[in-house]
Amino acid sequence: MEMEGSHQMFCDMESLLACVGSQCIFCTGKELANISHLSKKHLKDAVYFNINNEEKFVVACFCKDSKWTSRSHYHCPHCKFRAFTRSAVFKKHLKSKHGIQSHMRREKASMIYKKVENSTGESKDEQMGVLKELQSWEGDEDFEWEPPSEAEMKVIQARRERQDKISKLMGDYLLKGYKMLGDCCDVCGTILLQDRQQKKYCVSCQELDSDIDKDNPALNAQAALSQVRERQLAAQSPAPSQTPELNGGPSNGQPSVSVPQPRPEHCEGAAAGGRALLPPPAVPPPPAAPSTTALAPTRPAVCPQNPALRPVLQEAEEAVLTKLRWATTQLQGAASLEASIQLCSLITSCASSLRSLKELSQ
Amino acid sequence: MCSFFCPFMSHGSVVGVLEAVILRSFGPEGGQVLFTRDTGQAMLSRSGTHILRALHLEHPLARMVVECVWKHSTVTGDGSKTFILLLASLLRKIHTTASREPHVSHSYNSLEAAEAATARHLADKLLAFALKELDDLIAMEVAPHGRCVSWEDFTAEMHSPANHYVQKLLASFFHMRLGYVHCAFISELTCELLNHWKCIDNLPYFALQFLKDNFPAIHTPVSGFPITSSRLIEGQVIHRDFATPYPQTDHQPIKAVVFTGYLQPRLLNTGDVLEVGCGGTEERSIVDFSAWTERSLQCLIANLQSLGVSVLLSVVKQSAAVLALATQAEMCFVDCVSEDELSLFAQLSGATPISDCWRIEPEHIAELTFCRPILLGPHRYENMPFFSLTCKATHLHAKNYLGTIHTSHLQTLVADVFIIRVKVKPYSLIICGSGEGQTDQYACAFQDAIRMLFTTWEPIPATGTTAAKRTVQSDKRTSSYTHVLTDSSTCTSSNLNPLHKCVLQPGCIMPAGGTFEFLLHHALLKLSHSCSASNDTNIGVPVSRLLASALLSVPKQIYSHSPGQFLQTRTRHNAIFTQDMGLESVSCKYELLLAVLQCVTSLLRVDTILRTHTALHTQSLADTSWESTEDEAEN
Repeated sequence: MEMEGSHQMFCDMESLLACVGSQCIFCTGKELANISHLSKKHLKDAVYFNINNEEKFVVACFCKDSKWTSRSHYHCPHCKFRAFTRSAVFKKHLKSKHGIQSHMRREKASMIYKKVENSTGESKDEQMGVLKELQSWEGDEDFEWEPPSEAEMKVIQARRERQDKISKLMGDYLLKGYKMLGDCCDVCGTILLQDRQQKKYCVSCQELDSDIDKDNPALNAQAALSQVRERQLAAQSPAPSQTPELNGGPSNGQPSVSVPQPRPEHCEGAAAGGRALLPPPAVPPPPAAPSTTALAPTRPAVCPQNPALRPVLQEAEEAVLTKLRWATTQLQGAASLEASIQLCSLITSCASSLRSLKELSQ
Repeated sequence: MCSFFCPFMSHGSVVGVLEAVILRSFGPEGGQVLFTRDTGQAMLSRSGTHILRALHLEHPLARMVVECVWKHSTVTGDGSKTFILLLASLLRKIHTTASREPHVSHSYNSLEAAEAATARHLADKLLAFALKELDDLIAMEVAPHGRCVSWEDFTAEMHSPANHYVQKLLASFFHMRLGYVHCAFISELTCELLNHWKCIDNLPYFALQFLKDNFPAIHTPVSGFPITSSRLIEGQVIHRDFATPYPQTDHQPIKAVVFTGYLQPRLLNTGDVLEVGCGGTEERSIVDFSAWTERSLQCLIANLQSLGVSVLLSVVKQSAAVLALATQAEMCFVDCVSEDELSLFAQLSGATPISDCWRIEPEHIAELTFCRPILLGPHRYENMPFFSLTCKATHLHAKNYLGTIHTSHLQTLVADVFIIRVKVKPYSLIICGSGEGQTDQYACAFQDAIRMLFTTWEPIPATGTTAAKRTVQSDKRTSSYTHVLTDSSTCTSSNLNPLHKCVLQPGCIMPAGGTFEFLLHHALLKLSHSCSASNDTNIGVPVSRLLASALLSVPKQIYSHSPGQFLQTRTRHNAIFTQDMGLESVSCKYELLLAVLQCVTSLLRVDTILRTHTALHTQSLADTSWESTEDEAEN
């Protein structure tokens, strides 16, 4: 039995998860092979059997090898990967031809399927959660815990720091005479405080930046920049890039996948990448918002002396003006302090970008 | 909108908040918290228990933790801030381990449930490990680096080495609690007090236990004076003034009796029915009745006078007739004496309080050397010492102590205590402070110091089964134990010498400043390495490693201002003893660890919190009429 691509038999989750990648090997078309896809499409209908006291399974496949690509099929590992389209037929074949008793685990897979469906976004943490769920479901305790990647570490570190900050603030308030209530905030889940005037107060909502707002491009210029950069990269390279993850925390990439192009982890990195395209003396970045000035350089940056640049500059001006208008309207309706500060800095940098663009066109 | 409750994360965040509260007061560099009330009262305190109890906490987990801290500090007197630090660090480590490896044997609905179950499991394992193995580990690996000071060596001689150690231990305790300015003075005063009370019994820690139990009666707080005015005075101080004018008597010994009831029968209480003039030929009225009671009182007083009693102490407030008669008979009368003072009096004098005033036996009469009023600050008290004469020595009532003696010692001790008669010269402690709050703080510090000393010198009962169990387990090393909890214990016990009975000696002290934590950390790591080397099929993370890493949070915080020193101390643990950061007690640390682990276990057992609109009555738990619990909807 040669193990290759979709024609293989898996003995544990690890081997299946090795198939996580940008292109699903079980599917004919272009499909991103992340864990939820694998579990929803292929693992859910896997057929399990015991060989030599080891449990193995074959997943439902949609590959080109069989004449049915729109229906799932199974490749029998003992018959040179002959395809069977119906699970009942396949199981009967295993039993009669090879004497192997097989079964399916539809119920548990649907549980996972539902869980994946219900999750708000496919952040790394959620995928890790699904991973662990799969692992525990399999009862596979040999799965080695992998140390978190650098990106994950940053997430964990950021979360821990935020939690420490919240604890410290709450401690200070307690010492000032606030009361710690037994309730949690509905929005963020932090414990609520109550002051002498019986007013409830949530430390993280009202004082700290929200975790999610940092990545919401509508509120944060850095997140907007990162989104723009990603789209640009996606447009440039032929290979499909990862879908930008905007919600659920500043997650970047997946645990065991090799990303074709490096994702910008922080907006500084994106800004640096953006700035590197442009010759240095073109745009002096204002110190207040170094990242947002990169908005201008991310536009196609060719040598400014080229007269063909004029329509491009006009385009750039228009884009910046649009952004300025948008920021102004947002500022009028901004509720939180941080958002207002961000929007103001965006406006400042838009203005300076416009100024430099006008200088360029003259 | 109902409030959701994520149980696992809440533990860490609640304890994290409490940690943030006490962190700034922790360690020798820690600051004090200023408490102010709306009434204008202000108080400075560094005591962890005070700070935590002063917070307004409605969150049930937070209250539970503060309750645990308080209970722990009533036993050992120290370590409340360390408790919170260790608790927070342990919860963090358990959470990290649980999220890393949700070791599950059943399937759970969600990841959080799996993590919570793993955490609970880890906590139980930790507690089991601590209860079984930790004291031996400490006795073998940590205690040899310290010093055992025996209580018998602690004598009145000021320059004995034992005295020096005890004083240093007290000085470091008071330094942490009250500040460095007066710690030397206060520790000297405490040593003096201990010296005076030491001769109470041959058994070493009985003196400490006696002091601990009777401390409220032994000390008198006086506010309005500087702390340096605190001193010891001879005799017991009764915190009440004379109700009758004090006649100056010169003859000794002064005889005193204690009354628990009313001398004159109360005439009319609510619900009383007085039948007057029934069954007799003469007409009786209420006036006759009260005249009769007064005559009986006169007889009583005459009886007392004939016995030579000149001081009367009473628990309740007696009537005016009694006071008048006593004044006439030139007896001092003190009423409304508190129960614990009277019990101390009874213990020291050997006289039982009289409940039936018509039967006064010689055993009810106490003998005093003097009895005089004393003016302490704005209050006038009574000062009554006892001095044991050669003809009548005082002895202690054993029954007060039976409840607290360890059962293994019970048989041998009961006989001894009744026979022994010792001479004791009681001394009272006057504690002065600038304000009421300050004085209260000093008094609490004294009391906690005595509790700490008691915990240090209290012998930990070495159960005879421990050694036997170890030999049995080492024989059964190769047998298959499938129970998870005993797996680790069979593993560890096989590494210990089965015949060597390790008991933590009382009176073991070692240098403070994180020494205990470092040594225990190394010992636990060594244990985990040898455990993993010998046992290949180790299930899960060895809990010893978890505990070892959690322990380091304490010295990290102590040396938070100088991380270089922390690293240095950690790597060169031979050089720990050159630093002079004071002394601390090993038993207190051990008790602290056990208390923290028990708190962790009970915290992690909480799955969810139900809010009720009305208070639950405890007896309704047995009834079917259970108060309905419902999730409280917010506004």
